[in-house]
Amino acid sequence: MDVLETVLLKILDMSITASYVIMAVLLVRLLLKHAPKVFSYALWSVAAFRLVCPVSFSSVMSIFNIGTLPTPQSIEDAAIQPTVSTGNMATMPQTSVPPALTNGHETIAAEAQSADPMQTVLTVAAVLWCLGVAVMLTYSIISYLKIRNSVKQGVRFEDNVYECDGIQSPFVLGIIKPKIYIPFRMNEKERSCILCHERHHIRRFDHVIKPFAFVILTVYWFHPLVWLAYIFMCKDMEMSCDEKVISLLGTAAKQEYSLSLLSVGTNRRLPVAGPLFFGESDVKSRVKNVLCFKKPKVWAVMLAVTVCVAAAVACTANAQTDKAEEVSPMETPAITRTSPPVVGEPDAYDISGRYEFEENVYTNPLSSFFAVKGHMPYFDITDNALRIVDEEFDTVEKYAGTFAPADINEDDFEALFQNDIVVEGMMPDISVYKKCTQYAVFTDEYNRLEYSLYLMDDEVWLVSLNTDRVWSIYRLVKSGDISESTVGGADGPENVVTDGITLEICNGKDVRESVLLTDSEAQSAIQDIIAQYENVKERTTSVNIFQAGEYIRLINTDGRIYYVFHNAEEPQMQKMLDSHSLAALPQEHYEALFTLWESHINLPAMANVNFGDEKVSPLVYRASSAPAPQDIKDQIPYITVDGQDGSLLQVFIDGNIVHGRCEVFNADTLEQLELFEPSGLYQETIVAAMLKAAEPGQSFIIMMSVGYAKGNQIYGYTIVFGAKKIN
Amino acid sequence: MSRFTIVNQGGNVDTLNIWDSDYRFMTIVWEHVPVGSGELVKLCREKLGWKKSTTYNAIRRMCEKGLIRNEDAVVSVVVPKEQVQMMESDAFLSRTFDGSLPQFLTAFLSGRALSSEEADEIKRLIDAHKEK
Repeated sequence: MDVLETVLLKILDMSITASYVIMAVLLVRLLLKHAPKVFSYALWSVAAFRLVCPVSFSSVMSIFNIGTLPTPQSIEDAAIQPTVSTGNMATMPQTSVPPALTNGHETIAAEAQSADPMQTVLTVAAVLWCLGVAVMLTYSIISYLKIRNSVKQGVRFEDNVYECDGIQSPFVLGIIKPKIYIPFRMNEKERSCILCHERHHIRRFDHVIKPFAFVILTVYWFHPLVWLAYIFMCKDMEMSCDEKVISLLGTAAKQEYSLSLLSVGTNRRLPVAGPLFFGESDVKSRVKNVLCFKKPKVWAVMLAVTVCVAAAVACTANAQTDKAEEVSPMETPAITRTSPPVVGEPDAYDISGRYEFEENVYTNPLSSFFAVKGHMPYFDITDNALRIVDEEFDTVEKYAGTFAPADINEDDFEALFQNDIVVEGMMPDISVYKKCTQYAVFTDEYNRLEYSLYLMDDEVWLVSLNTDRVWSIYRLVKSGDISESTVGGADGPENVVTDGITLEICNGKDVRESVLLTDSEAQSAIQDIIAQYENVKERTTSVNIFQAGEYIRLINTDGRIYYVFHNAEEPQMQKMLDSHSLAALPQEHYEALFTLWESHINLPAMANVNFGDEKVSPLVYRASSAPAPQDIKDQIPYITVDGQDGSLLQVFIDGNIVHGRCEVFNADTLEQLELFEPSGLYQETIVAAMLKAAEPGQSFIIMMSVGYAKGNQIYGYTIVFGAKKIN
Repeated sequence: MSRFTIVNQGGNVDTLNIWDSDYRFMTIVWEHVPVGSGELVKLCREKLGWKKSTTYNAIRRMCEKGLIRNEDAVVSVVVPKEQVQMMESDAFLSRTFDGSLPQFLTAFLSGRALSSEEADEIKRLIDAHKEK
């Protein structure tokens, strides 16, 4: 048998059991007519139990001991064997189907010769049942979404109370964090009555019970008694809540409270009371109930409690029979109940996290800094700030964020560059992106705009702004979540543990060269030096790299970072680096490390210079040991420059384009003509312009220093080539 | 729905319908203007319990109504508070039932709206009630 059909059979079985319970509760409810309504309300939990729970305990007190009533077991038999007719099953799908079945018997038999006719009926019934559940769910989801949408702009009145447009009566919405919504401009008395009422609902968890009851109703949608139970349960819920409010506010408040009920009742226009929230049901009977309500006498309460408990036990328990054990075993899985639909408002795209620099999209021509992947700080974006975390130097810059997503078009984007000399082809082309959004702006402590964040399709761009011009644009990639412990702390290892020691030379020309030393000989030599560092003091915590000049940065296998400064013993450096113990180490360490580094650094496989159609293979040296032009002038390959040529000068290492600091010499006199420091406007572009503008017949030598990151190493190269202007 | 009356400099009177919640929002704008939209989001979160998107929606709507201006993420007012008078609301006058769901469902689940006769009857019931 199909799972669905098994479930349906179990549901039918339980629904019949529950029918008697519901009828019993309705009867007892009549007896308790003058008792506080909270007892009637509590009784419904028994019906709910019967509808939800497929097993129960047995008791002689059970109503199912009454001989004429079929036990759950016999009903299940009945469902499987259509020959047993049960008159009170008229509403059940399977009893209404047999006549139709006889009519279409041949067809069904032809279709499925061996199929049990009952099986076919069951299948049809199961499909119908599923359809009904779907309709009920759709209805509740739609009404939930509708109401949710209409309260979105509710204005907080106090705590969890919101005033709201477009609603005429108050209600509670939400399950985990329920909120009370009331219309605007209620008078104060009405409001306090209504709030007292709604708060009591929440205190009693009615806001959970009602959707739960509706879920049951959804499953038993075909059952009129369950509908009746649901309606009466809601009524009892409201009335018992009303009574509680009256006993809290005092009987003197009856009239006021009734007027409040009337006031919200007369103004209803929308059917507010969907299944998942509270509306005011049946004002007249509620007002009557409120007006007639008296603090119950003790004996009356006792009697009511007794009746309730007896009814509860009688209805919950199964009949005590010899076959009691056979009743309870579950041959079918319990119904999988769908939880009440909770539809979240679509959250804003969650951008927060830790980002790494991935690619330089743009750098201002005036910038003296060029970003290299792998040697950049982290960018932590939280929901209200941007933090730039430089682990190398233990610095954190913080900028306050304002998140104001706004779409931008190409014109908006171009406007950013209006204060700059824009070199053709340098400005990023955003027409390739379908959706461009300025997502957030970040300001410094003086409220100056420093950064803005763009979402370009699925790319994240961080635009650095500096006195109303774009300084740089970095493409960032998310590398993880923000962890608080990643910042600072001199004692913990910070980097990923590697199987080698990274030795990095900064030669003071903005070019760093690093090499990963994996051979044990070199490593032990370095460990010897480090051992002395450890004796002195902790590693340096902060250093201004631009003042430090030449230095060596060393990343040990445990991730610790050390600095050794070239001219640390000079008084000037001593003064500046006074607080940094490592700088106090003798010069010999610097030289020992430098020698070690020098013996391990490699040259690239290939370098090329292209200028239009001209191609040459330039001379390549390590940046830190490049010779002077006069020593190599005879080996320098030349490109020829045509004044009309509009093409770009491009330098490649291993097929990758590189940029860097350029020195230009007069090829004849070897006099240095220009020094172009690294900037966002690629220096070779300036060099190309200079060459194009030169007098015909002039020759130049160009020495270009570039940083080139490959794997976890950075290489610094000096690339030397010549250029002749021909016309 | 609330009604705004805007008195222009020329002395003309314009009537504008806005929601009560929008009016609350405008009260905050008037108080803090000129205000960065980010700051406004913060203010609305504190004072109205609004989400970011709700505030931005309100900014957009009020811009469309011509009450405020939003330039470079700074919100400024077009119509100052002095030019505006709040009219009595007609929110509680409507008694018609215009539910879009089937009648039986609404009747089943929420009771139905009271007719004015029924309301009067209940009112009499309450008035006549005396605590014994």
